[in-house]
Amino acid sequence: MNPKCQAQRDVMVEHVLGELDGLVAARLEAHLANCEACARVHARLAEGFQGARTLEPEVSESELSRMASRLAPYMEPAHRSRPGFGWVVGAAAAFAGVVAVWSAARPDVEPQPPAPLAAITAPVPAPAPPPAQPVRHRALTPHLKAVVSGDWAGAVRQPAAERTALEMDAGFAVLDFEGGEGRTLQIVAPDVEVVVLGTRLFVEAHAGVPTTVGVVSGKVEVRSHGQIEILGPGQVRAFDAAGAYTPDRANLRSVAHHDDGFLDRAPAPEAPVAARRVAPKPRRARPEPVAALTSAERLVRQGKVAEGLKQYEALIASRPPAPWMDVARYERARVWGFVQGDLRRADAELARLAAGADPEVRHQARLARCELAFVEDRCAAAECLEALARDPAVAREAAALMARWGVRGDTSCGQ
Amino acid sequence: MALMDRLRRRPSPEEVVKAHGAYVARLLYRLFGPGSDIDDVYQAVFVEVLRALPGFEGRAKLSTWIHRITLNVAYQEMRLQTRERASRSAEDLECATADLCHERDDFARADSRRLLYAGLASLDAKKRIAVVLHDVEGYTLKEISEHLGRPLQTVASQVRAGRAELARFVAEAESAGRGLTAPGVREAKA
Ligand SMILES: [Zn+2]
Repeated sequence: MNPKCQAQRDVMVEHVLGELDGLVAARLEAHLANCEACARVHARLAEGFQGARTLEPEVSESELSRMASRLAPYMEPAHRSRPGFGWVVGAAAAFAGVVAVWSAARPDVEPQPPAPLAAITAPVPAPAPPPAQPVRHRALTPHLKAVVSGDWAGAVRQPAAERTALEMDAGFAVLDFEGGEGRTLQIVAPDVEVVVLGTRLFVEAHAGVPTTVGVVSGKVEVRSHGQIEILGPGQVRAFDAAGAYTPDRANLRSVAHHDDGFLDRAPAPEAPVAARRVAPKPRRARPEPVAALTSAERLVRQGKVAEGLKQYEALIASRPPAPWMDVARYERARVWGFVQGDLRRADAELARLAAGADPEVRHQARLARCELAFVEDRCAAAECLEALARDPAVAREAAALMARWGVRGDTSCGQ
Repeated sequence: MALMDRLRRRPSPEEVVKAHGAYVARLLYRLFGPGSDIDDVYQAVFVEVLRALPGFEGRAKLSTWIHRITLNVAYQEMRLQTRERASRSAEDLECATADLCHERDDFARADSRRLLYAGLASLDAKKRIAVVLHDVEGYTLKEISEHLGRPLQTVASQVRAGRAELARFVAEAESAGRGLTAPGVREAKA
């Protein structure tokens, strides 16, 4: 190749992009007029850059859903790398239908935004959802209730007082089993055997398609052809003779359709246990965190502080998943500090939360500690906020609090 | 209840993918060229996004944050492609199979935009990302320097060197039949 051409090509892109001027540009232009090879390269580059810079790539819906389907495993709670809030989001999203039903039953809870599940999951072999079907309520045993589809086929056996066996051949069922006192439930469906120790779950079985098991709350052990899987809340697995996989979650719409409140447990009855020699511990329904937090907060606001605190305690005792555990502890600490005036206790708890896993809770706990300081010592609070104002993560909130209180560490307190 | 409300307002993984999926795909096509197989990179971007979502604090806009992650993951992919190419180059030069040779001949006749993206893919990842971001996406050298954490001068010389190599690549393709190769570009759907 002509060495002259080589030198011209080194600056060709600059020229194409209009960045070259003066003598260098003039020299290149003169070369292009006389060198056909370079002129062709120049034209290709100009056309190529023109094409690339004006490119408006088309992305089809089908392409997007194909790519999104590959993400489904990463939206499973079990695959989340951290047991942080994402887990809850995942569970809530996976069970958006159920959450919506719960919310409807509790008007004070803002409904969760509907998760666009259908759009992001693959159209893999999964049973078609039958939402139009009527549902039937069945109290199968004193501890096992079910809402089942019209085509549900199943039978209950009770080989022993504490052992219940449900054989289910077809249809869709959302089940609520109240465990305790050694009670177990065994569900046998095509390709699947489920061992349940007190939980809410659903099972879907249709001839010729895999059987699907999903857990709303609690835990179940699922056996299928020698494999054992433990499923927790938010997890859905389909089972066929070939093994287990994560299915299309279209059947979650069916959960929403079926779970109409019938399964909700009444507050633990108190009278019936009196007859027994040893009164069994009444099983308390696990509080739903958002509803429990909302109602506890309302109680405190209405001045029913002890009742509100009791609700926070109950929620904390039920070990809700992160971050609700931390939120409950945070709110309880605020009641201790700002309502009951127990500053030391509140501050100690907030200090623990300020070192916790969830960044949002951490930040709020740090801010709340400064607020607590303000109760006793304006200058300490100002210093506390000054320190936070240097941390970009909370600077804005810290500045807002300083403005609200009219404090500034350097001037109001003079050091 | 401010804390609780904020936690509840965090978008779910499904919402994030739904809201930003198309944007990420389009950006990837601009970075890698239309017709490239972006599936793996797309997946890697969102795996990263979903992994980090619990820690996302809403202080940056979510779209800005996802844009950054996309660029980072795209750069990682470019580095991977550079390495793959290095291990394959001997075989490529041999024009090992008839198919491969055929592909190369096709390539010389391909449209200029495809040729340009092939040229970009032939650059090593550092030059490639610098040229793509500067000359295709229109970032300033300063922005690229900040984003990649490289000194401004380094970015400037990488852009310059990348452009010169690009012109040489196109020149070789133009001087026809000389067995061109565009490793790194996966023409799966072209
Ligand atoms: Zn020339």
